[in-house]
Amino acid sequence: MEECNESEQVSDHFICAVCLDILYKPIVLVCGHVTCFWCCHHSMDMRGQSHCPLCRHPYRHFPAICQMLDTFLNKMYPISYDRRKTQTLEDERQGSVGFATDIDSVVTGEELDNLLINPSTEEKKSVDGSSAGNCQQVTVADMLCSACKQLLFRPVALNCGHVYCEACISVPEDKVIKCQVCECNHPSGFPKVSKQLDYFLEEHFSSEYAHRKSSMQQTQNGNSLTSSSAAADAEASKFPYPTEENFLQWWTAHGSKFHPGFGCDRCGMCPIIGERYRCKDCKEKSGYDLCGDCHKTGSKLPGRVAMKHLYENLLYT
Amino acid sequence: MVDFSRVQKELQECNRDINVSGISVNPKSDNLTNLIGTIPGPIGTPYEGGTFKIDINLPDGYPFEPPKMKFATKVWHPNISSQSGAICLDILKDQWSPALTLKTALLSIQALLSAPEPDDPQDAVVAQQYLKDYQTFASTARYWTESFAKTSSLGVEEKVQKLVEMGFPEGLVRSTLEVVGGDENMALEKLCSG
Repeated sequence: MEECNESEQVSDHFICAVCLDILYKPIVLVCGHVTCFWCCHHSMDMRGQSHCPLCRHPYRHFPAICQMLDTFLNKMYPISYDRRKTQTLEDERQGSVGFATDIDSVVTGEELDNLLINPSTEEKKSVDGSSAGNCQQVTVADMLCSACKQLLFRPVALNCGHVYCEACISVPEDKVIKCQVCECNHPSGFPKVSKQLDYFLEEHFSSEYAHRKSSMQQTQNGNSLTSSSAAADAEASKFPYPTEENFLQWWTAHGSKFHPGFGCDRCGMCPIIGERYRCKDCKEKSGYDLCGDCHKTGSKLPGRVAMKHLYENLLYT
Repeated sequence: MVDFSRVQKELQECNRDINVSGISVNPKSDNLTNLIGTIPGPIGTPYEGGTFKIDINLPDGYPFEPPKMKFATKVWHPNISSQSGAICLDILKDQWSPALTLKTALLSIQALLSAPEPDDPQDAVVAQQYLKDYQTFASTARYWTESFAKTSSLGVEEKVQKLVEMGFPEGLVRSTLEVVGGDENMALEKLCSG
């Protein structure tokens, strides 16, 4: 497989279209396009609807980091990934807006202190985890569907960053897709297949992929998918953003419930519409906010951006 | 803060296939925030044969904010100011996306040269002329291309010959032309004044 030397040839499928570098802490948008966490964050419109940098597909929820891709890229391109890690940590420390985290890993206050003071802690950890600097064989086991546990076929990612085969996602009665792993709601309508990931799978695991393809064609009777995606899209457009024409009208009706510049740290809704709860202990500029729905569920999750705070002291604003 | 590592990559990428696209981007100074882009005039338009220089200024937020671009070469086009070179193009304003690059932006400007939008003008005079009297518009645009967008080195030999025929020594003609940047009339003025 790939030679392990200084000049890793990163496949074009894994180059972020925004920074033109290898994807780092990738997030998958509902349209299936992948960018780095910070590249997406910086591209977002904090006052209204955001659009995918590649296809301009509108979205209103900032997805969580796709941990599967993160681990995979770290294994596949350890040198480039390490370089990006060092560089990003440096930027994060200078920018003092917090550190990008995925939804599954809980960063404790102590760990965060270490990150702030000692830049090498994170790297040491990864060396112990035997990933840094060593090119490892990437296997099918790194690219499994969260539901069927087979090689991903036509992969789609939910807002929480978990990846499934397109056919493994079922739309329940209430039209709200729920992640089977973390039980988070997927708010953005039926996700589209991530083409760049799909092409890579077909290229890299050609025999397994072909096998999956033929078995899928046998079982699939080609029904529900289109109808359910339409239903979920309708759900997503329930709460309209203002357009230039109807702005005044919209503002009179919803203005007081609109929080420009603040995103929900759990579901990623940005800007928050409805009730907003803000952590009063956070010293970071970006702070920790929850939308009304996520506050109700009593979330103790770390959020999109790791920082020091107690999860109990949430103030309603 | 401008993402300079990205700008660096863009420059490499763009100048790699310069033979195919004819589009190039080069830094004006060391700091990579001021650049000069060049695009060839599209074939089959009044701009054919010209080489147009575009002044590029990268704002602090680049690539999350659009690059500031304007024509440094004078050009006669409904969506480009004939006075300032300002360009009326949506992707340089609210339709910018960070996945676009300097090269794709320059390609869009090249496409704008082939397909003017007179209903959304930057230069009202040119747009009026384009709509009411296309023939005059085309010949003016062609004349401007000839006058401002042709590299001066192309006609140098002709200019030298012309001036030599007037009775000036060839060596002096060449050095004078060089001093005034290839402008024939300025050279003549200088030669006459001694």
